[in-house]
Amino acid sequence: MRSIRGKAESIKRIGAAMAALFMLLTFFPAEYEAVDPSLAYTYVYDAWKSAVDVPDPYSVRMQVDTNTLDIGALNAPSGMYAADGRLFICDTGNDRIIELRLGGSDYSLVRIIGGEGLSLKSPTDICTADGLLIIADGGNNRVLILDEELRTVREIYRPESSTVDMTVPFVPRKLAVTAGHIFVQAKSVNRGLMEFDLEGEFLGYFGASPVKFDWQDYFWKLVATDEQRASMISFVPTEYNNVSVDEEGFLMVSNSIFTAAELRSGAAEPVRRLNLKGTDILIENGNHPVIGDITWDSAAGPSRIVDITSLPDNTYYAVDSTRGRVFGYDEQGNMLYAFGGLGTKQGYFTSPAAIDHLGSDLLVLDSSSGLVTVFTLTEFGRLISDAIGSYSAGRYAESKALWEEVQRYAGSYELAWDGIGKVLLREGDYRQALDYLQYAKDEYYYSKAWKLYRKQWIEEHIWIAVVLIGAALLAVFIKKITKSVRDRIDRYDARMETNNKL
Amino acid sequence: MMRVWRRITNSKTLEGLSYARYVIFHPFDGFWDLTHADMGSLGAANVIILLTLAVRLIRLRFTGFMFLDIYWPEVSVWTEVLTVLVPLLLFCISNWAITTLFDGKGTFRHIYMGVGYSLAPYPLLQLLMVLLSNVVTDDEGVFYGVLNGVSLLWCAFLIIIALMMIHVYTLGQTILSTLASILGMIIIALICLGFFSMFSEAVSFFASLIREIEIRVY
Repeated sequence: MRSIRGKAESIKRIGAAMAALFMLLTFFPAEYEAVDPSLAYTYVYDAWKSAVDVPDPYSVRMQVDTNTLDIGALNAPSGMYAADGRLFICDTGNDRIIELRLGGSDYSLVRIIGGEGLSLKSPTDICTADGLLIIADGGNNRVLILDEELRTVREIYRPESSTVDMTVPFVPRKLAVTAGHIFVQAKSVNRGLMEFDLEGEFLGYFGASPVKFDWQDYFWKLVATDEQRASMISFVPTEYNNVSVDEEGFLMVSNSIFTAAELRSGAAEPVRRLNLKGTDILIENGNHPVIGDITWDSAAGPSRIVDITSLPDNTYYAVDSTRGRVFGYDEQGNMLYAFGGLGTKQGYFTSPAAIDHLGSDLLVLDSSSGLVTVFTLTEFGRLISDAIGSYSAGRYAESKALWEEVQRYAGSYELAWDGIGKVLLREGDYRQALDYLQYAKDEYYYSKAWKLYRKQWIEEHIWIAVVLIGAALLAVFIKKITKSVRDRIDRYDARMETNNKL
Repeated sequence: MMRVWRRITNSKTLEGLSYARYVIFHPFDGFWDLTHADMGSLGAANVIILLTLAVRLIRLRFTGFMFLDIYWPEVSVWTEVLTVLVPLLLFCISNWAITTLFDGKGTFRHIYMGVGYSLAPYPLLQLLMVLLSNVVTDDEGVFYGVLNGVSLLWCAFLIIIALMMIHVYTLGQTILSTLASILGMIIIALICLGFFSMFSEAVSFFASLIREIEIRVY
């Protein structure tokens, strides 16, 4: 009898313990799974740094192969420039620049720059401005300015200036033109970009990346002997690897000389956007910094951005040579998506060297295969692009509808949640905006929405406080009255009593 | 279950808890009487520690997302509980071991009780912070940070005073012994680590030995 009761009690106890455990488990939400970025072609990082598979925003429309134009294969092309349907490819190894005209689904040769009469040697970049062709003719140590008929307008050699190191040959590698000035990234020049005007006048250095070292470096420098100090890495600004102009005329520069630790600590800035004073004005309001991949295997290391192109809607695309990926960012520095990879299939690259755009199409130059891959927006990519465009144009309702359409393709795409949340915030639907913005982990806008929601809530519920205070006052008042009445009765009674006694 | 509950809610524990209210605002008198006038109860100390653990978990779940954003796949209830309990017990053991050698008047029971009572402001303030985090915006987050700091500093201060009163030490002696206790914690942890790794080595050695014999004999 006793043992049975004991057993029943122990069963009860186990039951209670299990119930407690169950409660503890339901206390926390369930897990979800992330994808492996090495397997997905297109992915985006969620707020927890895990890569999430998304549909492809860009698909390959065609590949430009110069072999089909009877001009032979490209040899280590390293630069590319596209504008108004024209595509210039710097065929560095063959000392020439090829100009093509790009149609919807075909391409044709316009001309070959370089050869008899006009000697180019290892040209690495070209751009156009005011009907001029500006070429980084590195092998000839000059920047060459031609007009459309390929007549030499001007040649810029190493400037005679006290700030220019005369022991180093002038080898311009990349260049961009904005506000009537040429910005040249030259080899072994780490003081920033060299700024020239179109007359070839050297105006100085521009936008050097800030020198950064931490207290550890400082400490070791302090205790090191002179010989040790000399053998240490000296703290000089890092050299940019590329420069391009965005739609607003600012310079987008990239650099790839940094260690993984510097990238993690935020000391390295692989992408910078320079205004005309040379200060970095890149907006990084996203959940992650603009550094390409945010997690990486230590064998291959972090992304190395080699070129950037900015689209008219202020999104920009950076191409990475480590894993052959293209990273898209919006104006605020949110990663839109990343796609591509290393390989020889269509849509993959072996060693991407340059990226540019024509309209919303992206062109990526692969220096080892010598192919230019032309990407065009898919339905999904078009929706994202339009949603961003209509939001910045102020057509919020339209933007919201587009983001909702995006969600039908990719329900967990955080930017869509963010986009809808921001529109809801504008429309005054704060309660719903909070849910959307929390999903997107957008603390800034969440906080804004919360502030407004709180205000609204208080305004709607202020009557509770009024009623409560009123009730309290009433209670005090009633208490006072009853007390005074009771006092009066007591006094009356007392008087009656004394009267009676008398 | 019931028996535990009854033990927790017996009058001595409740009395001890209401005494905790006095202790956190009057630490010098409070902690002196806690041990020397036997005003404290072990049960109350246990309840306070349990409350601390509970608040640690509540905090994870209910803090507004602007202040604490949790990546749920990486959260383990046991880790959360043990990160509080293990250092706490290690500290008590280490402090007891050291103060026994250096004239401390407190027993292990006293030390445990003192540390337990010292944690009392933590659940109170953290609970308040959980509520606050769901009301304030990002700009007003300073309050949250300040409150967080206060809750920790208050507890630290109470622990110091508790040890001072329990062991009848001067402030200097207390701080010295506390630092020594922290060092002791590290040493204990290292020894445990070494012991466990040797133990697992030994187990795997015998396991492979037995397998070897099995293979050779059969």
